[in-house]
Amino acid sequence: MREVEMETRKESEWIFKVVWAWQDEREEKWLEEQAAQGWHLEKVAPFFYKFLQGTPSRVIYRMDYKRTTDQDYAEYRDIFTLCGWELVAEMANWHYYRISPENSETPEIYSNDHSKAQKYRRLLIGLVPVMVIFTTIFNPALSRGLLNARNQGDAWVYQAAIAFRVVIFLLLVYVIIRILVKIRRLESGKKE
Amino acid sequence: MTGSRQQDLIRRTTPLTEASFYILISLAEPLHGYGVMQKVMELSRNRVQLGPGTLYGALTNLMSQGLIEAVDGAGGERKKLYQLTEDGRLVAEHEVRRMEELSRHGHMLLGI
Repeated sequence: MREVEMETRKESEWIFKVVWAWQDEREEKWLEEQAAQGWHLEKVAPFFYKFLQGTPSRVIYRMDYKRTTDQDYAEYRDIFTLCGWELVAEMANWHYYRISPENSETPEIYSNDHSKAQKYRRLLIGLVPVMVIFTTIFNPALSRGLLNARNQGDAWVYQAAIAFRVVIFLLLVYVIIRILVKIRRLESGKKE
Repeated sequence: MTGSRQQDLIRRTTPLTEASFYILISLAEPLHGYGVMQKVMELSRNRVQLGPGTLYGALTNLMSQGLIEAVDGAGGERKKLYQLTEDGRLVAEHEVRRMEELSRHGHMLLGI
């Protein structure tokens, strides 16, 4: 599978991959494996990643969540740049940073679990508007078309819309629980 | 400052993490975020390395707790300069005394 994929790849390529919000560490590792094979991240869109072909190298990727509309955003960006981290891409407030390590040590953007937990706290707060928007947009009672469908005997359309909304809602609840578990694990350790 | 306010401040903000303690004492003189990182590495001889996420988070926390403040840099510099506040100095001094006590007892009981 992997070999076929390599043969068909061109100088740049978009790859589809589903990654959940709490799996950022897995995503970082995946991006590092791609870089080791010479595929360097260029752009990120929802579920799509654009890579450019280059020299295979050891690159460390780290993801951070920070709202770009925050008042201290410029200050935040400055600190990362000065510390040598290149911002490769930004998607829905997720920042993809990379650095080429100088030695065998792995540079980290968070030096302790306590501050790492804060990243997931920011993510939780960021998910609140998503939750509100989803439950509002997918509210069948707000759609005239769906209400007409119900009145005209196409009840299954209406019910499918409700089922879809319930699935989305449960998915969001699941994501939030996974993030809460992560925060709890990080904060239960000693502070340093 | 009244005694109870002091006690409340100390109860609320301590014990500081090692990173926060180093950041706090570095800011006895005004520094930029990056300057703080360099100073902490220098002081601890590279033992305490602050990632940008940790540094940024700690600066934000210490600010919201009122232990440090942003000051205007000379010559209208764009980057923010941070500095210890009165409260910050109080907390840092409390932590130094607390750690002195820890150290003293350690020496005493371990005979070192």
